[in-house]
Amino acid sequence: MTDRRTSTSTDAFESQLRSFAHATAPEPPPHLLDHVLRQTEGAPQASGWRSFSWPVVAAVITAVVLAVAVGSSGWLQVANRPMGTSPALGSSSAFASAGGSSGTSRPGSSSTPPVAVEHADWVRVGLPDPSGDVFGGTSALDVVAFDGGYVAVGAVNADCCASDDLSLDRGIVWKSADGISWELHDGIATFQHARLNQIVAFGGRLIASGTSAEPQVGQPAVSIPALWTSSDGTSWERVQGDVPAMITIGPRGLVGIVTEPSDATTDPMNWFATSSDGLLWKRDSIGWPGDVHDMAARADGIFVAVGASSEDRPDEAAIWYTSEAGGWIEHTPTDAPDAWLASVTVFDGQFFVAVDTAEPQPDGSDRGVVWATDDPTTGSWRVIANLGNVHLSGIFALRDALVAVGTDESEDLSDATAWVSTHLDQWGQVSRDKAFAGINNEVAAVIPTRHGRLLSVGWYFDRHAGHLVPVAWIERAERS
Amino acid sequence: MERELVERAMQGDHNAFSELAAASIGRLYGTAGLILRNHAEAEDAVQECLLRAWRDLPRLRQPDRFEAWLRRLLVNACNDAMRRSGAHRSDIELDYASALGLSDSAASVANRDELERGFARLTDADRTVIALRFYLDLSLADIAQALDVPLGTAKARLSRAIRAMQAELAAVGRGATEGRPA
Repeated sequence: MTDRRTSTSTDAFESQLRSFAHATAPEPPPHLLDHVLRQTEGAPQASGWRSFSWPVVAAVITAVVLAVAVGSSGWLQVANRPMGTSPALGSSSAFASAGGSSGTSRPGSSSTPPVAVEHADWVRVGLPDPSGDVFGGTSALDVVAFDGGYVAVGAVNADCCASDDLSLDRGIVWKSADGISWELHDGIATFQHARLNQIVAFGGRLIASGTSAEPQVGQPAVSIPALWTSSDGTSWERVQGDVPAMITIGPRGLVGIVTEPSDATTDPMNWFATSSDGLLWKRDSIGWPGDVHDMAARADGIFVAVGASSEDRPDEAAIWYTSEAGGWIEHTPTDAPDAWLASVTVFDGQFFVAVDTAEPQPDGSDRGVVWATDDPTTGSWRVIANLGNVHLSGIFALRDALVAVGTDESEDLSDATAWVSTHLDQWGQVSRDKAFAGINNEVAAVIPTRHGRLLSVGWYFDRHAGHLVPVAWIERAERS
Repeated sequence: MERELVERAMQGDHNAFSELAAASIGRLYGTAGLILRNHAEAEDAVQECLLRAWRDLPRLRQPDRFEAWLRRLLVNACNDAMRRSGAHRSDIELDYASALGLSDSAASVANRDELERGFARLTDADRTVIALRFYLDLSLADIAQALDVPLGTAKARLSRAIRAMQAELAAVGRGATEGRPA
């Protein structure tokens, strides 16, 4: 076991930071208030808030497509609205650090020299944004290939910043035949007070998971896990009963984790759940406490969940594993209790975890790493990639590549980033591509297109509009 | 009281807005100063924040959330400033000798100069979340709103920023021990 920072010393350090911040924050110059008031006096104000009225039936809004031929590859840049940053037209600037298999090295501790890898340019594509005056804007949170095209889900963040009312949010769906031109499906009644966080395609049906927060009279809306299904991406029905908060596809059907949220005195409890069709779910384990961030399933029926522990080790990194119908067992590397385990996936028979080590080096490197194991029951994970000064938020297994996404912190700005590896000892970074530039951009999900490109969705902070707009990033060229 | 002022300002009452601005400008400037480490940029960010607040106040749906909304505007203005000016902002000279409230026991963990040098070497993103948490004393939920990120992301960023600060302090300490400039 490693030494762990005690809560007492953590509290002392945070108290020190608090004193420091209050002591050193500068006072405003005397002229500043008068200067601001002179500028605002007589200045026009915007028109008032427009109340949002829900359409009776789903409205399908086709993006206004601005199509520009790009190069000889025939790729199109499309946008439904002007974007703050032009899609990259220059050469690929991929460069990479990389990890190498390092035996049984302690997670978070290995270091490997950079290896250059070439990568294609990416194009940022604006998705139709229905948020209008909604201050929080819109986020695209997941995407899936379905019926020869692509379906993305997300939410209008109406609760953001000017309200704590979660019932103001609404879930939205985008559909695309090619990953470039997207149609917005908004105003779907069952998504009126919802957020759509995740989508999978299973058994010829789409299944979206998220949360629903029905308005309450005289009290705040309460957000609860919710699940919806659709056969076409346009008409959706909510699944009734005990539904999981997150889902994935296992070797014998759908699996999920049902979570009962905590109150002030108890930890969140989780149950492993299974379903053959996404409509009827059954809890298949005893409950265990913890804050689960993600889960993945392997063909042999081994499941891994990552997140943070609770009870006696609050907020420390935790990894659980189980076989179907078995109990969950925590088996976490003990040398990295402060790591943030964001995401887990299965690739080529191994489990991979995207890790924010929370152990920055003096030069700012080695914050984001990827752990791997072929046997989660041993609790032995090895570092297979040091991705440098990056905050990793997700990792995805595609047909022939492993993709880690997050934000690049290497130049003091938080730009979206994606790292791609086809051979696990080589990782290429694409964040230097201008398509990924911009503070508070985040990549939420990545899938392969049927033409061998990578397609990702997320959001982009439009500093002119002052809010988030939903976007997709897509590779210009097919991957070789 | 504040709600009434906000509602009047939403209706175009500039006197009400003046009261709101006067009450907020100290915290706004302190926050911007900590994040940007540059007086001129902090001043610009606060101006941009308040100008936008005046312009968009009629669109504020929940007057009770005025403060949270204002913080969000400020963070956005600071983000703009970071993008405009790049990574080097260091013209704020702070008086650590009078760093208030640092007890002897706290100073034993890291001296005041080390704290400042460590803080100055953080990334903008780390300084932002530190300022929101430890200067404005925001909850994780409020930090998430100010940054416009999910709660889990806010939690991860705060955890990372604290660790980064600890690492920077360790680096500063090593530099001092070895006689090198940190």
